[in-house]
Parts: sequence; structure tokens; C-alpha cells
Amino acid sequence: MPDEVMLGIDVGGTFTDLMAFEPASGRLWAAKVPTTPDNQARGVLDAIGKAAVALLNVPRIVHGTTVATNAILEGKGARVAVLTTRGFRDVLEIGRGNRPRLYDLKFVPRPPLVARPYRIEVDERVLADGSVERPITAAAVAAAVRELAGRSADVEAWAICFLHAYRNDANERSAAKHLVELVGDGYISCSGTVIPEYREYERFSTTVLNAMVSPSIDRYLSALEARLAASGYRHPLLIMQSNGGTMTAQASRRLPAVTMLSGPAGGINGAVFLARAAELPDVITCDMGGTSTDVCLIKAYRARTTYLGTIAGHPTRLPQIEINTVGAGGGSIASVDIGPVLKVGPESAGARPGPACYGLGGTAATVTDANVVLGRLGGGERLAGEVALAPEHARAAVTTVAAELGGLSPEAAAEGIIRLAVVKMAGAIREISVHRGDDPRDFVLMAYGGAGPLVASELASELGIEQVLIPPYPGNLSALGLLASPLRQDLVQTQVVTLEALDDPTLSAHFDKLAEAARRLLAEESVDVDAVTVEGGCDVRYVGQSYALFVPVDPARPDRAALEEQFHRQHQVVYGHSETREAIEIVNFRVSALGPTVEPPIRSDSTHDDGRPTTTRRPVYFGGRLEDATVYDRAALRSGTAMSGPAIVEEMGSTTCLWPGDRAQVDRWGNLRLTVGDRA
Amino acid sequence: MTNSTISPITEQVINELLISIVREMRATMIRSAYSSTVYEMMDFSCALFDPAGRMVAQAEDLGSHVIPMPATVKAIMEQFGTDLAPGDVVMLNDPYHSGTHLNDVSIVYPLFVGDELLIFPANRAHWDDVGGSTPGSMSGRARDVFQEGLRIPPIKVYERGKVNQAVLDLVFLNMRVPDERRGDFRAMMATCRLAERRIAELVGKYGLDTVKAAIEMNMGRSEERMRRNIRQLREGEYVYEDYLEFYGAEGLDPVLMRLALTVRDGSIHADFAGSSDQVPGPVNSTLAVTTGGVVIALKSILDPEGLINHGSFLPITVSAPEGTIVNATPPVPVGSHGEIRKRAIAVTLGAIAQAAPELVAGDMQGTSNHNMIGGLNPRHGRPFVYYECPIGGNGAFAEADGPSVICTVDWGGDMSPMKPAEALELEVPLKIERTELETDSAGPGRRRGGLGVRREIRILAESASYSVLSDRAVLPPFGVLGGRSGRPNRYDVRRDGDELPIETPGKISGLQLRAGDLVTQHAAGGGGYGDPLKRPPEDVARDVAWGYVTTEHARVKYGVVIRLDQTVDEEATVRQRNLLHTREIHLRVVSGQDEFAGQLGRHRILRLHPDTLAALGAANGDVAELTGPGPAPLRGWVRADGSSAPATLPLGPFARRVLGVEDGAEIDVRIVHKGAPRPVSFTTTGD
Repeated sequence: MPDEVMLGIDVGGTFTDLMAFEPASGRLWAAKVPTTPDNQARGVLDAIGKAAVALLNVPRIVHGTTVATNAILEGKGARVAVLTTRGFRDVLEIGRGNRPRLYDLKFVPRPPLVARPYRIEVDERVLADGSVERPITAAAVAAAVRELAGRSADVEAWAICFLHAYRNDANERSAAKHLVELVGDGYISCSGTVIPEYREYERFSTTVLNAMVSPSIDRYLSALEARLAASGYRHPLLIMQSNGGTMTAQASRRLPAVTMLSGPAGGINGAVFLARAAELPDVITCDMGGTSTDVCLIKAYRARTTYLGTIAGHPTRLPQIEINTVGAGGGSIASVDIGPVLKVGPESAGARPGPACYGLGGTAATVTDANVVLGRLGGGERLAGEVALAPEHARAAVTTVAAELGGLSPEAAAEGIIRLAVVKMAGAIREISVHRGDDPRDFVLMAYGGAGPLVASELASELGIEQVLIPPYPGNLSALGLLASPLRQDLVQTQVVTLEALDDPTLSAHFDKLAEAARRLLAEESVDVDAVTVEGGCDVRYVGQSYALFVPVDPARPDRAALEEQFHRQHQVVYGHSETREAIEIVNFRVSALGPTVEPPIRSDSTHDDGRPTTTRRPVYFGGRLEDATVYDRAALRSGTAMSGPAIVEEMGSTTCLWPGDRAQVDRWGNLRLTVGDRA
Repeated sequence: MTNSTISPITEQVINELLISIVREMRATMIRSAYSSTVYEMMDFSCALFDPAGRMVAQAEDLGSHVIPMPATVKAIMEQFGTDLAPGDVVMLNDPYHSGTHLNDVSIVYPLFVGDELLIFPANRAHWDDVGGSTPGSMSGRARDVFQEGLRIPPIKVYERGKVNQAVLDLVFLNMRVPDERRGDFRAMMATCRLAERRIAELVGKYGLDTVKAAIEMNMGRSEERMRRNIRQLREGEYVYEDYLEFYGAEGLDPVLMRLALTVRDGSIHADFAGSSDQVPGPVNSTLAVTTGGVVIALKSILDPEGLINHGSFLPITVSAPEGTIVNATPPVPVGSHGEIRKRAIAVTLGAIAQAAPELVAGDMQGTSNHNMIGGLNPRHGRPFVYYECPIGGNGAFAEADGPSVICTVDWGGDMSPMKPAEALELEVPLKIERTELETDSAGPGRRRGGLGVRREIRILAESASYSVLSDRAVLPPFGVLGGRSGRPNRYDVRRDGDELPIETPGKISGLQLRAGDLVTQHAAGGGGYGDPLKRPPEDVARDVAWGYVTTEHARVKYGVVIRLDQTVDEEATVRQRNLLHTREIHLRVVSGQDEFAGQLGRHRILRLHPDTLAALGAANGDVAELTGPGPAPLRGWVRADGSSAPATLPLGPFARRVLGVEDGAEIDVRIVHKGAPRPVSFTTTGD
């Protein structure tokens, strides 16, 4: 009988990446095919074919998908009708009344998720204490559906968004039941189920986003499952969630909005996984792609989770890995404004025409062009695996920028373009580190994505970070991460209660209830309940504050005194003060149930190679000086190979840049470990 | 001081880092503040200023807070000068010491590098209550500044690192919810301490001279950009006038704000000479606030894309006579900084429109719309203060309809005034029964203004008191280029179904409420842009189908006839539009004086023949709006006068300039407010 093979398959904007792992032999291999945007399932099957894997031998596929994200970003979500409490149909349009653009008389806000005729009010009301002031009736729901009149035929999904449903969702559940009686089974999302947290605009928005992606996710997953089954796959398909865990395709259909960050979350899991192997508990990741850069903070091998996400400007409150995105990528365009002032991004040259150096007609200078001008790119490698470089176009574009900057040399302008992109990325990293009380200097920078390794040294230097890690598959980290992702279910319950009013047994009771529910959900996904670990915590604040801090609590043994002490300590770290005499309250109880962790799919290479790999040399600009840089082929590097900057390490889909003074060595997992030198 | 040796790259990098420091200050504030006004509404700002008071960097902060700050820093320098030392922290809120209103408390923190004063991190936050005669402190019927709360002149609350506890105790003792205020103060201090660490790191890395040079160069570039944009405008002097709503014993006694804007040689001067003398009601503010309005309007109209720092403001100067509503002196009330600032924006719009009609928008809400309900919370027996600013519509502009329920342009960034109903109901004994876009509130136009919000609030506490400090509750936000006015702001209170009388619309002080009363806030709609009879009928039909506009409003204001199935009746629409066109009342301009009347205030008088008045269906004391070739309308109070010829209107030189007409030209007239003033009782401080 052939050996089992695990698969991680990540569908990105341009490529569908697959990583296959054969535990028996320890063999790990990759396949890359173009993404098929009209039907992502085709690309997934193409990748499996290219990897030459027989699905009969595959016990587990973890999949990262952008179906939900694209539906929202491209405005192609399902037509949703919203049923809401009488008097509140405009909550989704009004939002919080803010005006994000400063000093612009002609600001035009984004349109609401659902147009007004599809937002229908019903007679019902739950009060802040959870009591039902006015129960819902079948007649009220019928009246609402009638109000849609001729439009009801267009409705593909429903969102039921009632006030205070986070506290008591009885009216929402009844409304859903009556709705099914009227319109039959369909896609119905209830706000108290999707995310039982207070603040109606944010909860309604999350609920509508969930409804909007329900039909497309359902159709896609059904189609994919059918194709996989037809090819011999006999196990549940696992889908990556925004929170870093996986759930079965079946469970994802119930709460599809949790797949909104499916792809990037896989990358973070890949990073966590490599960090564990290399025993680096505290890591900041930097995934620099063509149009933007995602950064994330990992502490004690855990990516920080946030409940304050947005997509296309619409809030979502589902837990997700805290990924901060900044509009600076390889394709970001450099322009000169009056002053002259140099600007980089957020406009991007995209894939077509792409940077000037692609030679596809683009004339705007991009970050990639700047790298070409400096000689950091341009050793004849093909970008994104397919584009041959045209350095003369890059030089022409950057020269234009240099002239507009008042006669700078093209090289000085090019370094400026990269420097500004780096400063923006550093700003994004500060927001997730120093703004939360963490000092980036205590972290290792892990850079990946096509462009991340190019700027890693400079970015680390900007942040005072000494150690940089470039993973062995900088372009395939998401797919690798999928292989290493556990099943996971998150549950939350809003319950505002002062700590005074709680004793340990009551605290335990709150957690037991949630933990039991989470275990049950995992059991439904065929997980052995004994192998489940449950983590948890509370959102805690001083009475009178609104924003709460998440304080971890062991759900099996909650300890009130420890919780209190931990909260004061965290408050001190994050905000610089704590108030030990003030009353404390819990706002939310949270648990996460995790399935068994997957066996590490990489093995260390214990062969130590002191031999010198063959290298070439080329001139590269660093800090205004032309240096003679050593150029390495990464595929030829072995564990233990050491090098020092100035140097360039080239590989399929990515290039790493070592500044003069930087040193690097390949570790036994194939990571390139940089020590950033002092920059005068 | 210049240092031209640093590269434009280093300059940009340093300025990005300065903005990032302000962002970090904001993050600290949001997450550690105690009052929902800070953490839900984000009614606070952080910024960095240089010792000359010039704004170096801001982030998602409120222009209304930041732009008057240069005057604040100057006031501090005047008061303390060389007496400032490392470890000092200055606090103030007094508008007469260059604050905004007493509820906005500022912390200004001088930062030294060695002996050199480099920069002031500053934080200005709205405190829900700062004492005074009514809960929430702002009162629509305050007669002097003392009724508006505790006045704090620039005071060192820390001196060389040592806290002045006596002052803080005194401050908090005079406020209604002191625990919240202590929390807000701590959060504000934390932001400044953080800025101190970050600035030190920045200077350590780049060196003091380089940092100073970068700041200087960046301002120079913004200034140059603004001057270039000003030079695109036709040079000349442009004038406009508008009103705020003051109530005296005889009732409404509007005060006049008048502006002459001179565009010359890449700079703009705004002169408010001719504005009303200050009055004992909350329709006054300080020159810092007035200047803020002008600067915010011009930056937002002329250079929305450019960097944000003081350089953009350097080409703009503002003057106003002392003792007027735009440059008040003690002791008149000054709680109305939002209203003066927003009216300064309106008159700037009205004037600059004459130079660049394609760049402007219709007028907007015209008030910060402070609404306060206070009383005892039955849940814990302690006082509560509800504070909110129900948001109106914005003005329409050439490219789009005005945005609905979105902050006006002086409140950009993170400011999120619409608090969640669920948060309010958890926090205070109120039940929010409705939060919706108010149908027909938007100013008609080829581009429609934005809609205002309608919020209904049920009182659950046994008793409570309601105060409102707003404006544009009589005179609505105007439209431009033929666009019409939005609906004015309105507040009504129903008890057992009957409306309680409110004799001073928009200015309410401590109105006594009881359980079961229903307060409804109707926020103003934005002014329209262009002739509503030229709005594409299908756009009107969509507005009707979506419930933004009623069928009746569509017919009467847009001349569009909508069938029962919500489609446009094309033929009937042509007929209706012709009819509305012929019904417009035109007047011939004849030579006259700019005539004003008023007790303490001043309002323009329009003398019309009694037949004209009858044709308008108007009576003495109604407010008329005149439109001519000039882009923005002129308003005045009509008076029957048999000595005027029928269908003529005597206008003085100022009025003719606003309307862009000479003698003999034809203008349109319509009524925008009906009802002569009625006397008001001022026997009690609360109603």
C-alpha cells in the first residue's frame, strides 16, 4: 500500500500553491500552477495533478481560499436582505458617522453593504438586560417579507439583525424559523449566532458579510468536494479560518465569514511552525507581495488575535489573526508631488502592466524598478517565475523620478523609493508592536513573499531588530502553514459582570458551558474529544472603560485572583499605568478549542556543509556606494553555509539582499539566518 | 534656521515617523480612556507643535481641535515663556486663553532636548462634564461663560516632574462625574509621556539639527503647494454673510457673521469686520476658533491631497475686531465654538465660491449639535450624563450627492459621533427607539444634499434634564448654484403624545423631563448643488423608491412626478417642471442700502411691495432667500413696504456683490423660514 500524503493547498491572487508531505519518508515537495479565478476548484485540481499525488492516498487536505475575500473586495457578494428591529434599518448605512478622509470637502463615502430597499424593519424588541419587551410573531416576519414585494426573488441570503441579540437571541431564532416557513431553507445568518457581541453596527456588518459570502462559499466548497471525491478523496476537506485554525468544509458553510483571511492566516501558521522548529518564540512576520505588505506579531509561538477587523472598509468582529496591511509592495508606484515630495504607493502597477522592468508597457517607477536600478535584482532571474527583466526600462522610469526630485542620481532616487516603502512597513509593524506595548527589538523578523527578503535587512535595521529569518520557501509559506494547522473552534459570550460578583466556581461554570459547546462542535468534525485542548480568557476592563484587554485564563482551572493580577499587569504594560484600587469587570468570556497539532512536516538537515558554494559577483548599490556583491544560488546552499554582505541570494520567486556588514548562515531547517550589521 | 543639506528622502522619513508618533499617541488614548465620548466617539486629538505654535504633525485627529491649537501654544508661551522647564505639564480649557470650549480640556507638554525646547506634544479631549449650570456643561441658554463650567487658564499641573495635586483636586471636585475625568486625565498624560520617549528616540537617531531641518522643509513644501493652488484662483475680494441664532428677551435676534476674503499673490486674507458685536448667549467664540474655520475650509477646498502640517496654513491670515461674535472678550458665553467654526466655514464657502464655483459644496449641518441628558441613574444611584452629537447631512458638490449622516469637514479622522444604541442603553437609563435617515431632510439640487439623522430617545430615569447647544435650527444650511436648503436642525419632546413647547429652538437649558418622555433629534440635511429641476428624473425616482425623498417632495421640489409603481411619469414631469419654473418669483434689483435691524444682533431687512409679499405667501418677519448669478444665496428678513415698486427689491452694494448683480438685473426669491420672533422668558436658568 502506498504511503499517505498530506496536502496544503493555498489559492492566491496569481498562483495556486501546493505543499505535499509524506510522513513515512519525510519527503516534502511543492507545486505551483496559475490560479483559475472563474472557478478556483480547477486550479486546485491542477495543482494536485502537477504534484503527482493520488488522492486515494491522501488522509488530509487543508485548503486556504480567497473566495469569500474576493466576493467582498470585488463587490460580488450575494444579494442580501436584512431583517432588523423597527427603527434601525439605517444602522448599516449610517455606521458611526465618521469621515475617514481629513480636510477633503468632496469626500465620497463607500456605499452601504446592503441598499435601503433590502433592509426591512420588523416589530420586535429585546432590552439591554436581555428581557424581551416585544416578542416576534410569524405575522411580523410575513409582513417584512411582503415589504420586499417583487424584490424577494432576487434575495440570495438573509441577515437577521436585532438589537441586543448578543444578550438574548430568542427573537432572532424565532424570526429565522418563521422565515424558513415562508421562503424555505436558505442562507440565513443571525447576528446573535454569528458574533454575540454588543455594538449594533459592527455586529450587523459582520452578520451581513457572513450572509453575503454564504452562497458563493457553499457553491465553491460543494463543487470542490465533488471534484475531490470524484478523484478519490475520502475524508473531510479542511478549510483555513482567519483565526489560524481549520474547520471542516461543512462547518465553514455555517460561518463562512471566518474564511475572510484564510490565505494570510496560512502564511502565519507557516511562520509559527518554522519559528517553533528554530526555537524562536517571538517573531514579527513581513509578507511583502506585489501591491501590499502584511505584517503580524507572534509572541511565545502564538500570533496575536484581534476582534477589530475590517474588510473593504466594513467592520468584522470575528476573531482573526491580527494582520496589519500597508499599501507598499514591490509594485507600488513612486511619484513626485510638488515640493518636490517623493511618494510611494498606495497605487500599484499590479501584474499588468506591472513595474517598468517587466517591459509590458508600464512606465511608472516602482519599488521593484528601484531594486533593479540598484542591481539588487537583475541577475537574469525571472520575477514571479515568468517575467524576464528589462533593466533599461526600470532605469528610465527611476531616472524620471530622480529628475523631478531636483537632479538626484537615479541610484539615490532608487534608494529613496525603497527607504520610504521600508518606513511605511516599519510604521505598520510599530502599530502591532509598540502600540501594543511590545518592543520590536525583542523579536526576530521573518520576511517572506516575493519582495520581503529583498528589504528585510533594511527593515530590521529601521526597527532596531538584529536577527532576520528568511524561510526556505518564501513564496510557499502559506501552503506550508496549512499543513501545520490544527482544527479550531472559537466561541464568545458577552456577559458584563464585575469581578467582585464572581467566585471561582461561578467563573468555572461560565467557562465550562462554553468549553463544552466548543468541544461538541469539534466532535461534530470527527475529532477525538480526548485530543482536544481548550484555551480561553476574558475581555477585562476597569469599570467605566469601554475597550477591554484580553486576559488569558485556563478554562479548566480559572482563578479569579490570578485573573485580576494578570489584568493589572497587562494594563501596566500596554498603557503605562494600572489602577489596583479600581473595580474590574469582565465583558466577554472566550474559549478556543483546538484539535491535535499536526506532526511537523519538515526535517532538519543534519549534514553540515562547510564547503564553499559556487558564486558569481556583481556590482550592487548600498547606501550610495557601489559594492562588489557576492551572488549565491539558494538552491545550492546547504545547512551551515555562512556568508557575509554585500551579498545577494537568488532563488525561484524571491531574492534576499545582505547589506555590507550583515552576516548570514543557513540553519539545519534550510532557513537563512541573518544578523544585521551596524549601519553607519 | 535652515539646513538644506538633508535629502528630501530623509525629510520624508522623519515626517512619516512624526506622524507615526501621533498615531501611537492616539492608540494609547483610545484604549485607556474612561469616557465613551473618548472611546466611542473619539472626540479627542493628539498632535505635535513647535515652540512657535506651528502644527508639525497630526494623524486621524479632529481639525476642530488641532487647528486652533497654535493659538493655545502661543498663549502658553506668553504666560510661561522661559519659565518652562523639563517635567512641566500645562493644562487648560479656557477659551479666553485660546481653548475651544470649556469641555475641551488640553494637556500641553513642553519637550526639551538638552536646554532647547524642541516640540510640544499636545492632547485635547472632550470631557463630558466640566461643571457649570447644567449636566454636560454646555447650555443653549447660558448668559455668561461661568455658567458653562469651570475655567482653567494655563496651569502647570506638573512642575519639574512633580504633580500639583491641589490643582487637580480642585478641578475634579468641580465636575459632575469626577472618576471618569480622572481616568481621562490619566489617559491624556500617558499619550504625552509616550510622545516624549518617541521624540527622544527620533532625535537620538537622526540628530536634533536634522529633525528640525526636516520639520522646516516639510512645512516649506506644504506652504509652496498651497500658494500654488491659491494662484490658480482669480484674484480679487469676495464677500459673504450668514447668521447665528441668538435669543434675547424679544425672541430670536440673529447675529451677523460677515466675511471679506481677499485673494492676492498666492495668499488669502479673511476679514470679519462688520460682524455682530458679541452677545450674552452661546453664539460667540474666539479668534483662534474663527481662524480654524477659515483654515479648515480653505485647506479642504484648495488642497485636499496635500500633506497636513502648518505650512498649508501660512498663506492664510485672518482678522476680526475684538468684542465681536468671532473674537469675543469675557464674560460672554463661548460654548458655541463649533457653531462659530462651522459658520466661518459656511461664509468661506460662500465667498470662495465666487472665485471657484466648481470647487465648493452646499453648506452642512452648521452646528456641533451638542445634546445632553443628565440625571440620576437608577441602576446605581449616581449621576449620569448622556452626551451626543446627532449628525446631519453634508453639502452636495459638482461630482456627487452630499454624504448622509457624516461628520462635517472640520471633524475628519476617527471621530465617530454616532454612539451605538446598545452601548448607550447598557450605560445610561435611556432607550433608543429609532436611528434612521430622515426622509426629505436633504437640500434639493441637481446634486442632492446628504440626509440628516433622526434619533428617538425614551427617558427611563424618573427625571432628567435636557440641554441642547446647537444652531441652524431656524435658518437651514444653504445650497449653492441654485441648489436648495436642507432641513434645519430640530428637537422635539413628547409627553403622553403631546409636544412640549420649546420657545428657543436649538438652544435648550435644563428642560425637565420625566420617565416616558420621548426626545426626538432631527439633524439638518446638507444643501443641494445646482438646480433641482435639472436633477435627472431617474435619480429622483431612485430616491423615492429608497425612501430618501417622498413622492410629494419629488413633485414639489424636483418637479418629478412618480407613479404608484415608482417609475417616472415623463410627460407629467415635463409639465410639472415647466409649472414650477413659471411659478418662481423674480424680482428686479434696484439701487438701495444694505439695511439691518436687531436688538443686540443684526439682521438684513428686505423691503418688498405688499403684493410681492402676498405672492410669496409671506408675512413680515419671514426669512427670504435670494439667488442670482452669484453661486451662494443671500438671506434677509422680509418687511412689507408700499414705497418699493412691485416686483422690485432695493439692494445695497454688499448684497449686490454676493448675488453678482447690478441694478436692473433679475433675481429669484423664496421663503426659507416662516414666523416672526416671539418673546422668550429668561426667569429661570433652567426652562
